[in-house]
Amino acid sequence: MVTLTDKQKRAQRSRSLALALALAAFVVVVYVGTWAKIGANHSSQTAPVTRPAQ
Amino acid sequence: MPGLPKVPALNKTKTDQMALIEKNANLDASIGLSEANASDYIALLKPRVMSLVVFTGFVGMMAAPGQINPVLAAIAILCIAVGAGASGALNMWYDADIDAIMKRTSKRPIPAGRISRGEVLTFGLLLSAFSVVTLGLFVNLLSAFLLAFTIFFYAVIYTMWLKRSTPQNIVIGGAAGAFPPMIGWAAVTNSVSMESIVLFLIIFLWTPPHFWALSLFMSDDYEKAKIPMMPNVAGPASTKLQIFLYTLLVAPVGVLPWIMGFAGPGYGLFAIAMGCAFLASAFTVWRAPVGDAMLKPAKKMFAFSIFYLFSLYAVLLGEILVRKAFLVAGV
Repeated sequence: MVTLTDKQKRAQRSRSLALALALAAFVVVVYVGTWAKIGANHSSQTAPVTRPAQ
Repeated sequence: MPGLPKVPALNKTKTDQMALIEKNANLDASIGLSEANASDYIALLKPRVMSLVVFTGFVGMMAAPGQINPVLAAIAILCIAVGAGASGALNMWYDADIDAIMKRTSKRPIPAGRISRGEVLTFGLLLSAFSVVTLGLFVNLLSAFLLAFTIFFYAVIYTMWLKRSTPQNIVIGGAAGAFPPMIGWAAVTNSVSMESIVLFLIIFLWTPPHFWALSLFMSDDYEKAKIPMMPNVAGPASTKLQIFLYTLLVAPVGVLPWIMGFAGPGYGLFAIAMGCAFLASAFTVWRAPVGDAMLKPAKKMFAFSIFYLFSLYAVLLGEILVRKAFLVAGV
């Protein structure tokens, strides 16, 4: 059985917190990015087409 | 039986078994129980280099004609930042041996013993993959390809090949640091144009005088680590001349955005003034006698070179933002 020192415990907590934040940020990026991408594609498809004057 | 690995004897005494358990426990402690905290992982990303990369990438994005969804623009900048950080981590993974020798780098997480090389390699590869794939999925494939190429160029071409083999290492390797504005431009336009090549060239031609000014006053460190930087191979006199010649190239290239019409006269006049100041600084270094007397001008030039690049891009950005604000206001 290996016992963690206080310094190792603090370091482990700091790494775990950073990893959790990074994963949460990635989820947000994917979610928000997907909506933005859908919105960008939708607006480019529905943009009015200008016809040359006859 | 010859040819087979030796199997440890199973009939060990209790004392032997206890010693073995204790030894393994110590081994676990030394390998698995890291004292590295989150800030060590952030240090692997070379935050100072990353900030310049993010800034120039952002300027490239803003200078590009056309529009990009602000959320996708933010994702593109994030991917450029993470990709730059990943290449920094891969650089630290490969260069851990020489980082330990050099005073400037000896406190980095690997030589300081806080993170193992294997962990850094995994970290760098994972971040590279995430940044490139995310940029490709959300922005476009060209910018993702350019980011992947930048990471490959910095980690493989520069770090693994050029850095230890030729004094031209940072001349060619400088391309890696010059790509970000091109990636930013490609994120908006999905193309590579002459304008983005000019933004690339400014950083590409700025890199040799910037790093050679540093290596003039850090040459002992590079000598110890056996890195063939220009002052150690060709001597300080030749390095000083080459610094001046490269500055002669970068000063007019810095004015090109105005001449080509994607920057205004304000930027143009500023780039001319800064180019002259950069040249004057390089001239002072060139004319300084070899020895301790050249260290002060070299340090001054190194500091000025950072200000030169940052201010050029900042003025370009400021001008673009003002122009866009006028367009929005309909003036």
